[in-house]
Amino acid sequence: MKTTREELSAALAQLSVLYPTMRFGQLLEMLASLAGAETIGEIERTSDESLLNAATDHIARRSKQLGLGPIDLSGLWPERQHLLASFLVDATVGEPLARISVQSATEGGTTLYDVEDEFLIAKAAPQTAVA
Amino acid sequence: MPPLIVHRGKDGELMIYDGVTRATRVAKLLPGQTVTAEVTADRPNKDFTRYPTVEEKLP
Repeated sequence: MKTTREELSAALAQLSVLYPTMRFGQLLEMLASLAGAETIGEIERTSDESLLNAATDHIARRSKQLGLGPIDLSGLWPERQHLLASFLVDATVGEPLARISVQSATEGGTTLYDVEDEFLIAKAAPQTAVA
Repeated sequence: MPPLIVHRGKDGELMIYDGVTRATRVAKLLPGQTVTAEVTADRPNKDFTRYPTVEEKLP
């Protein structure tokens, strides 16, 4: 049985294919908004479950809008795969994905919307290496 | 230029989720020029008027 974080990671992989021009932080901010968060504090407090529910609903709507069937994940690029895998390691810490991402962006002197994937990967790299 | 990704909220207001930089550059360099936007979600109960507009964010 998959954990919520694993299911969320899979959903984020599908969303990444549906929105290939969006940075990871943009995707998370969009999901948090769809989950009802409006402020940065609310985004940080958005649970993985809420993000997963929003993602599942939006994937279904967007796929229907595009006339797509099952999403082909072969189009998922290695850097995004790496980033998503790193958050599975972070799951052991028990922090919500939104909080981890917002804090990483803040530490980099930027926002969740603007943070580059490369920065998030670099932040997560040591933990990924341990795994 | 790829279309902007937007959500449509209350009263038809659009919130940009991808393409803020593109929209800002077009507004600055080609004022009045329209751009293509793709509405990927309709959220009629969501009030987007609390957020700044592209015009308000022009450098």
